Amino acid sequence: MDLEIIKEWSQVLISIITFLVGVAVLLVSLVEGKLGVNGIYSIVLIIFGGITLHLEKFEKIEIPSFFKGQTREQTKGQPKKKFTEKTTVKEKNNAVNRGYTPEEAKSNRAKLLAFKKNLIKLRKMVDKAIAKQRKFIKINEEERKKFSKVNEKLTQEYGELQDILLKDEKIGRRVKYDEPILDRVLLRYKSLDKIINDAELSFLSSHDKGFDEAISIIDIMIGKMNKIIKDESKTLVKR
Amino acid sequence: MRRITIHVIGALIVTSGIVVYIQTQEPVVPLGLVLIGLYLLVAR
Repeated sequence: MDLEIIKEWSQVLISIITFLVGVAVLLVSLVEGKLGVNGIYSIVLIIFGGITLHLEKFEKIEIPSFFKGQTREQTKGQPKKKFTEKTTVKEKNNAVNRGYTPEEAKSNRAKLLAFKKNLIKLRKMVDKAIAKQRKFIKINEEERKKFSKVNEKLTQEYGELQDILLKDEKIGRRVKYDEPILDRVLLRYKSLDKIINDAELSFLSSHDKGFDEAISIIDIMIGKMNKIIKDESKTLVKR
Repeated sequence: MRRITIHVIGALIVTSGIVVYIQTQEPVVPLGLVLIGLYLLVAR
C-alpha cells in the first residue's frame, strides 16, 4: 500500500477519533453536572476534529453520484468504474467526478497532451516561416511538407478529441462539464485550421497577415490547452 | 520546509501531551494533545 494513502487515511482516522473523544468527554462532563476545564477542552477537540474531518472528507471519501446532482436516469448508461489497486484515492475521486474510468481519463489526457505538443510545434513552425518570410527567404518544399504533416496530425487528433466529446454527449456525461472549454478549443481549432490552410497556400506571398492571425489563435489555444491540462491535473488523472 | 515545521510542531505537541499525562495522571487533556500532535505529524 502506498505510504501517501496510509497518511491520508490516518489523518481522517485521527480526525474522527479526536471528534469522538471530544464528544465523549463533553458528554461525561455534562453527566457529571459541571462543564469544568475538561468540558471546555472537549469543545476544542470537537471543533478541531470537526474542521479537520471536514477538510479531509471531501478529498478522500467518495460521494455517490446521486448526491452530486445526477439523477438515476443519468447514471444509468454510464460504464461501471473499475479501479486498480495502484489507483490513488484522488485519482478515483477525480475520475468519478467526471464520469470516466481511470483508464479512459488517462487516455484522454494523453490525447490532450499530444494535441498540445503538436500545437506548440506548429507555433514554432509558423514563427520560423514568418521570420523567413520577413527576410525574403524562400521557404523550401521540404519545410512546406513538414508544415502540412504537423497540420495533418493536428487534424487527426482534433477528430479524436471530437470523438470523445460526441461519445460523452451520447452517454450524457457532458452534462457535468461546468465550462465547455474543450468545445471552445475545438471551435477555435476549426478557424485555426482554415487560417493555417490559407497561410499554407499563400506561403510565398508577400504579406503575412494569415500567419499573424494563426499565431494569435495558436497562442490562445495553447493557453486554453494549458488550462484544460491544469484542470485535468487537478481534477482528472491529476486534478 | 513547511512540512518539516508542521511535523516538528506535531512532535512537540505529542511530547507535551505525554509530559502532561506523566505530571497530572489525568487522561483527557494529554489524549487531546496527542491526537492533535499526531494529526500534524502525519500531515502531508
